[in-house]
Amino acid sequence: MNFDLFCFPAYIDPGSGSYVLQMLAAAFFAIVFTMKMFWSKIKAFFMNRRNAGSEES
Amino acid sequence: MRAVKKVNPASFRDPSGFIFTHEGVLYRQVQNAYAQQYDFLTQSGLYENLVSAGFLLAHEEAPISTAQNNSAYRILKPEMIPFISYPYEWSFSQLKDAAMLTLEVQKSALKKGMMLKDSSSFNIQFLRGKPVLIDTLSFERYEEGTPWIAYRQFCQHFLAPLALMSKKDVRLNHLFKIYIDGVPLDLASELLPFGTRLNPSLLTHIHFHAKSQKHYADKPVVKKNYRISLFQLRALIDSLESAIHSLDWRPEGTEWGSYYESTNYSQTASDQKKSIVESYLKETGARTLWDLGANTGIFSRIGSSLGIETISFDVDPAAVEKNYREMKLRKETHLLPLLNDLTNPSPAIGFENKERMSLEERGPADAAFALALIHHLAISNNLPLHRISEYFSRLCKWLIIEFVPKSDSQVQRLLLTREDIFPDYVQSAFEEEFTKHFHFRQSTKITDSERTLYLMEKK
Repeated sequence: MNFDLFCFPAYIDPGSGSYVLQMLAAAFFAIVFTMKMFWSKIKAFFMNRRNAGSEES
Repeated sequence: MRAVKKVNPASFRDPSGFIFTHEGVLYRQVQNAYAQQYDFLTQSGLYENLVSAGFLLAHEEAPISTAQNNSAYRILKPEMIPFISYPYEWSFSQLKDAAMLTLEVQKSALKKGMMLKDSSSFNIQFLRGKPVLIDTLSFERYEEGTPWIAYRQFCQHFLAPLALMSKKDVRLNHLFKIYIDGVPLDLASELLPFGTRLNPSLLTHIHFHAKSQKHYADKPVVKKNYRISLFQLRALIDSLESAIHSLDWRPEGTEWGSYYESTNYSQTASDQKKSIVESYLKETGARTLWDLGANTGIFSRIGSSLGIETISFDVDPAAVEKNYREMKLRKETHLLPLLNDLTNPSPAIGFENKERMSLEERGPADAAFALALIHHLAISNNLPLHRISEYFSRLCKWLIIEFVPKSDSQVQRLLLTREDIFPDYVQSAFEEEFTKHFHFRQSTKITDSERTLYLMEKK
């Protein structure tokens, strides 16, 4: 797909400072997001084990 | 003679298209320059997904002959919104729901290879009790690595005002009337309490963001050097979502918080008042109703339950918040609670004062309620009866109004702390002034009280 076809000028000013901050914030929150996903997987794993255990008993 | 096509004066910023009216019908013109983006929106299935989820306003395509000029690619006829409202008229939860909707739309768009190119809170309206994005042209094709163009706008239009309302003072949503492109982040950062710096999301998206804006204000940035991955973009949106979700405001401890508990009506009088108001309202055959001093909307619901599009105005943010929460709980679809101070109604603002309409420009309503209101206007706010009567006649065709005499305990309460400089505030003077602008159709004295209800039709 040719992306040039889709190049459409932004009509709002994203702001230089907002651009730079967004990049730094996105990098930081990507780490937080990874940890959140990792944590929810751990929780889901133990919940599944507990549910499986209670079904067996 | 050719019918006049009138371009909406608020629709000029985005070159993708604009709104115009033709023979009383509202249309959106999609410009040729936006053709590929528009086709991608429809062909990717994003439009259908968003409309079926109730996130985006539906439209049908109209004949191209309706176009304003020869640069039109498509003409859209969007579903009509019964009443246009603005963020400075919304309660805390209304703005919060609008923010969450914007982020939901952005997530759905990313899944289909598009993103929001703007995130103005003015692009959100309330329809059938829920927020909906009205700007079909807010999408552009997403290219991996591109940051979110509308990130700054989202923070100014949603996060900053919500944080201020939640952490500082709920009345700060009025800043929208001064700053039409959202609350400047340096101002928000200065006003927010120090404790908000301990919240990683608010610290980053507001306080650091404001500092970064100041630092780079006069420095050019080579934007192609700043790229973020799709995963990072999703993480950014997730953090904004968590930040908005964690902000809260509860309507407690305000003037009107317990109004209905402290009112001087007996149960009989209250029931009688409701039934008179309902019979008067049915007589008007109204399809739109403005309840001008609605409190938490008890009387507004007489209209909305009859299927009348009802706007429930009040000056108190706590009353509007309670009203909105109840509307959501009951899943009401014909009611819209809004903040409005009748002594200083929403003005026309923006470029040429034509971008956002005044309250009056959005009327007149078929019918209006002014129940237990006149004494607050005339006595608490010194408004002359003839000015109130004249203004009401511009807001509605039918008026259901309650006269509260000076001997009423609620008026006595208002006069406790001030001198009685209102010799003309008497029922005969009230009738005389209102007769100048209205025909009196009916009036009924409410049992167990000194109040009278009137049904009036504009002359």
